[in-house]
Parts: sequence; structure tokens; C-alpha cells
Amino acid sequence: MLFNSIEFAIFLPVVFGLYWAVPGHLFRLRNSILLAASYFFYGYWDWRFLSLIFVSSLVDYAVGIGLTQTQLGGRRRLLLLASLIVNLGLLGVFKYYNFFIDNLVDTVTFLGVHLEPSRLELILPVGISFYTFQTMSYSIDVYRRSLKPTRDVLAFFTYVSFFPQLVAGPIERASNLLPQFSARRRFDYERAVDGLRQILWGLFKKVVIADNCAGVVDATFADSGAHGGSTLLLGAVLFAFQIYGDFSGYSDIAIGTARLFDFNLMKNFAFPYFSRDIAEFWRRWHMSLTTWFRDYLYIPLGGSRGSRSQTIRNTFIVFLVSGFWHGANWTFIAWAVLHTLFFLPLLITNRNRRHLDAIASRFPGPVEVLLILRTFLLVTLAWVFFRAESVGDAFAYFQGIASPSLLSKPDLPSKFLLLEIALMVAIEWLGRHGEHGLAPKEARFPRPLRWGGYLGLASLVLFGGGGTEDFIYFQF
Amino acid sequence: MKHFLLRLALFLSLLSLTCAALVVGTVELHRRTIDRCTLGAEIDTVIAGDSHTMWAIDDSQLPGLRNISLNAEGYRYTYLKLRHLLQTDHRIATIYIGVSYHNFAGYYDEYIYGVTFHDYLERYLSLLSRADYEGLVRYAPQHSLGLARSIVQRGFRPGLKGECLMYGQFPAEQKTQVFDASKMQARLEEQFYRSNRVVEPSVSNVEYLQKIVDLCRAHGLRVAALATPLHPEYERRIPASYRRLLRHFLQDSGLPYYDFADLTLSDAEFLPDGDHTNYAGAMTTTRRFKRYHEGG
Repeated sequence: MLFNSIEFAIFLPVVFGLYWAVPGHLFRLRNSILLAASYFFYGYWDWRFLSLIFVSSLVDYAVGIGLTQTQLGGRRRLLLLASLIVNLGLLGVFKYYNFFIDNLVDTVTFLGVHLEPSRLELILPVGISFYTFQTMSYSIDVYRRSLKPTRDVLAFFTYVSFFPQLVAGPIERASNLLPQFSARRRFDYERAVDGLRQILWGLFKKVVIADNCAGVVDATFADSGAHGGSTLLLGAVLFAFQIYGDFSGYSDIAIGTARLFDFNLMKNFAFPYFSRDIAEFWRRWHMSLTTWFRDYLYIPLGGSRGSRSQTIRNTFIVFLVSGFWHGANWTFIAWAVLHTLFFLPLLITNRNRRHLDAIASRFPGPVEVLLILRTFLLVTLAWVFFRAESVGDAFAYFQGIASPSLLSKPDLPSKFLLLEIALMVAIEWLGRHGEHGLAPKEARFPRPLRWGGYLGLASLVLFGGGGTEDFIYFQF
Repeated sequence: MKHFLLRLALFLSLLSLTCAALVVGTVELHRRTIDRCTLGAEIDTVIAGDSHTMWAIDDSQLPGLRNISLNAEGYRYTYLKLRHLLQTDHRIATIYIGVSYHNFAGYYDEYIYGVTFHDYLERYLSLLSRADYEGLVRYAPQHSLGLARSIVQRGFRPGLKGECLMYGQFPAEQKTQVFDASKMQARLEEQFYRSNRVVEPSVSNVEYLQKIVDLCRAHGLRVAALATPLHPEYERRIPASYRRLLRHFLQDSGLPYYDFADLTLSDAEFLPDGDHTNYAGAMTTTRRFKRYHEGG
């Protein structure tokens, strides 16, 4: 079920009504409603893949219980290994099997050996990379004894399948979300209203920005040879806004929806396009995944505790795995390598933690503007690999950009789209210190103006959107 | 919770009012600019129809003639257009109506009333009455929101600019694709067959074609039916019931009928579906039509 669908517009109020109709002390009954709703939400897309969520939940629940019952290091390691094998095995089969087989065949063919292994005709289950990482983090935390395992099977299953963030994150840590299922929830007016604001803002970014950019971007990337350099560059810039609107929009809707049920999900985006360098960008983009890799890969590898070369190696590995997490295609690896190359100079010169807070002044200074534009340009160029069908296509795209026609007038999209993007950037700039673009601004704007703004945005969502596109991150 | 629900209800009510105002406002913008929808004093002949006539006759080669056909246009909308045209352009003396087998097929209803119509409705916003809008809602009530969305999304900007979208003309884009038997098969199945059975005719198109003829005659115009060339293989596979339907209509209406039967086009002059001419086919068809038209 898509957040930007009529089905969800019916589903959400029904679940909301049922959930809050249950008295507060019966929070387990509320969990049952959320679990049933979450399975319905996921099964609405394809009920057969519910079994994968079920298996992943069951294994990690059992591993958690098993880890409490033994203090022996060897047995504990075995239990953790079981969790990793099941979760990474599911990912491996559904997401990476064909990629490895194809590359194996290419390699041995290059060496003169003929091989014909069978490929698997599988559909990639929506959100598999998200919920498997979420369940794995639980088992790892319990193994590390940084989290007490739960015996509440209902709470655990609901934690894994919680519908707002099930298919595209944020990838929640059990330490943050799981305890919320075991506590009494109270309806909080301010939180619910802010949840609705965040949903509205997410819908605006998805439906108005991302979906309208999609048409122009698709046309540009489908036939890059037919466009001039300036149009191709503009296409890449629009893709930067498309993927941001799409993914951060999804996260905003997810977090806002969770708030309606009195749950706090972690922040996933912190206005990344206002970053002044690549290191800051990665602290602000897809934060739940970045911190996941930091906690469960970078730090276990030694983090920055070893020599400079070890730190560089660890950073490179994290970027590479992160790229591969996005998809079984060399384009994502190339995207990750490019980001590593952007990042390493900052790391080597110890300048990767210069910009930890958002710009405080009302407007950025000229130097900050230049830094923001430089970072945005680097990120945009890397997105070309992310969007292209193959590495060859990406290079052809770059070749097209780096042609004399780069200085010609580009084929501009509609003025409305450019205005809408400008509106998004302006609102996000004003809200950059808050949780989301529309975070409370009571002090700054009187109520009629705020309500007028909300009505305007809602009207744009209803009437100004592109086609109903899937969320890009569903494929991951 | 009560306070929250009340505030939410208030917001949704205001949003509904805003949406209604946008829909009504968009339609009103189009209605206010309808007077600008004229063809000009030099035009005395029009060709009306759908994509078949639109892509087959290059009106730039025919002085005094305008090809106002638009792709996917059902006769219901052609009728409304012509009714408006005859009120504003009094020099019109001759009307050619595109008539072919597919025009009678029931698949067309989706283009007249259904969701597919939503992709074209901005052309007709000024022409539709309140009853017409109600009819569209009744036909597909589950898509009412989509209808409202399409009205604003597709109609607002042209309405604001006062654009007249109801009259087409031969497109500037030169279509160069050529006949492809597999595409023709798909086209035939789309138009005439459902689950290996011949589809029912379109009641609306049959009714409004007759209304168009009556309207033109009531204004004392010369009216003729025009069937653009079809690929022989495509024509061979038209269901017999549709052949009869067209024959009976022509007999009953007594319309002069020109079907380019004396013109043979090659595969390279048809679009892949065998149902439309491409640019090269249009040039050949226009030359022949010119002779027919000038010969009276």
C-alpha cells in the first residue's frame, strides 16, 4: 500500500480509530491492532512475502531468548550467527543471487570457461533491506548485552512490522522503538497535530516535488544522447530533488504517522542539501542507515581508533557496503566509490567534523553559499551513477554534460515545477532547526497564515502532483 | 482527542471548500474565455473527428479548410464543438466527419466517460454543462476525486491563459514509424475484441454521430463522411457486425462517403497499428483528399 494512495487515506483513519478506541491500559490489544494492520498493509502489496517478515521476526525473537539463556561465548556467537545467516541469507537470495551469478559467468567467460548456472526468477520483496537490518540490529544489541531481550512476542513482532516504517524506514533500533511497544501510550494533541504537519510536508515533497520531477528526469535519462549538456545537468539536478523529495518525503510521512499513534521514530533526514561538505551531508542523509553502518560495521572494524590507513580502509568498506545495500548493480558501487573519493580528503585532513550544526544565521554568508553549492554539485554528479541503468550509461551521461552544449540554454521544465522546488527549499531553510520543514512556527507566523499555508500545500498535493509513482526506495 | 478531531474536521472542511472552489473556478475560467474560441473568417470548411482524421489530412495545404480533429475525441464532444462552432463561425459551409469502423466500437466509451477521458478533458471544460459533469461522476463515481484532480491539474493553467484547446489541427510532429503486424493485432483486440468475443457498439458514439448529422443539416451545411485509409490486413479483420453497422448508418443517413478506396498505401505509409497513416501516408492522403474536396 502506498502512502500516497486512496487506499492509505482510508486505511489510516480506520486504524487510528480502532487503536485509540481501545482503553490505554490494554496496550497489548493496541499492539495486536497495529500488528494486524501492519500485516494487512504489507500483504496488500503481496501477501506471500508476509512469510519472510514472519520468519525474520521469529528467528530474531528466538535468538534473543536464546541469548538470555546462555552465558557461553561460543553458543552466543552461534546464535548470533544464526540470525545473521537467516537475515543476510534472505537478502542474498532475493536481492543479490542473480547479480553474483551474472558476474561469476562474466568473469569465467572472460577466462575462457563456459558456465550456465540457473538464475532465479524472483520478485524483490518490498522493504526487505529495511526490516532485515532492523531485526539484525536487535540480535546484535542483545548479543552485545547493550539491550535486554524482550519476552513479549507480540511487541517484538509489531516492532519488526510496524507499518509506518516497514517498507522504507527509518531503520529503527530496538533500543529506541521496542520499549515503546511495552509502554502505555497516551494521545497527545500537540504530537498528533505535529504528526499531521509532518505527513502533509512529506506528501508535498513526494507528490508535488518528486513525482513532478520524475517525468523530466525519466525523459532525460532515457535518451541522454538526445539532449544538450545543460539539459543533462539540469536533469541530474532535478533527480537530486526527486530522490530527496521521494525518500525524505516517505520518512516524513512514516514519522508523522507513527506520531499519530504516540510513537517516536528516529529522524532520517536533517536538510542534507544545506550541507557545507560531504561529511556533513552524510550526517544528514538517510541517518538511520548511516548510523546503522557506523554502529554495526564501522566501529566493529575499528572505526577511527587505529592508524590513518585503517580508518581510510574502514571508511571505504562502509561506503562500499552502503552502496551495495542499495542494490545489486555496479552503478551503486560506483556511486559509493565516488562518495568515498569526495569524503577521503576531508578525513585525511581532519576536516570531516567541521560542520556539526545547521547554519545559525538567518541567511547563509557568501562562503557558506559557495560551500553548499559545491556540496550539492558533488552529490548531484554522484546521483548520476545512482540513477543510470548501467555504469556505461552514467559515463555517457557525463560525456553529454561535458560537451560544448553545457553552455547553451537548457530545456527548462515548467515554471511551476521550478517554483515548487524553490518553495520547498525556502520552507526547509526556515525549518532547518526543527524536526521537519513544517515543524511548529507559532512564534513566527499567526494562525490564519499557517492554516492558509497548510491549505495551500494540501491543495498542491491534491491537484499539483505528478502521476502516482512508487517510492524509489521501495526497490531497496 | 475530541479537540483534535474537531480541528481536523474543520481543516478537512476548509480543504474541501478550497478544492470545490478550485474546480468551479477552473471551469469558470474556461467558460469565460470561450468567446475567444473561433476559427477565423477565412475558414469555411472543417474536418472533425479523432486521431484518424487528425493525422491523415494536412490542413496547411488546403486553403479555407481547418482540420479541427483531436485524438481520442468521441462524437459527444465533436457534437458540442460543432454546436459552438456554428454559433461563432457563420461562414462554415462544409463539414467532413471522420467515420470509421472503430468509431462505433464500445471501447470508445472509456474515452468519452471513463478515466481515460480525464487525460483529455481540459479541451472541453468550457463546453460541458453541469449535467455533463454529473454524468461523468455517475459513470465512474469511484474516480470522482480523480476527475476533480484532472479538471484543476490539466485545466487551471490553460484556463488562466485563456487558451482555446477544443480545436485541433494537423500535428507539427512528423510520425515516421511504420506498419507492424503485431501492433495491429493488439490494436484490433483493443478496439473490437474482448476475451475472443466481439465488443458491443458504443451507444454514445452512434447516438451523437446522428446528432452531428442532424445539427449540420439543420444549419443547411454540406456534410460528408470521411474514412481515412486503413491497412488492407486491418480492414480484412474488422468484425462483420461493424461492417453492417457502418453500412446501415450510411444508408440511413444518406451521407456522401469518401473512404479513399481508390488509394493504395504501402506499409511504409501506415503507423504500426495499421489504423492510422504516418506522415508519409498523410501527405499521400492529403493530395488525394484535395482532389476530392476541390472537385466538390
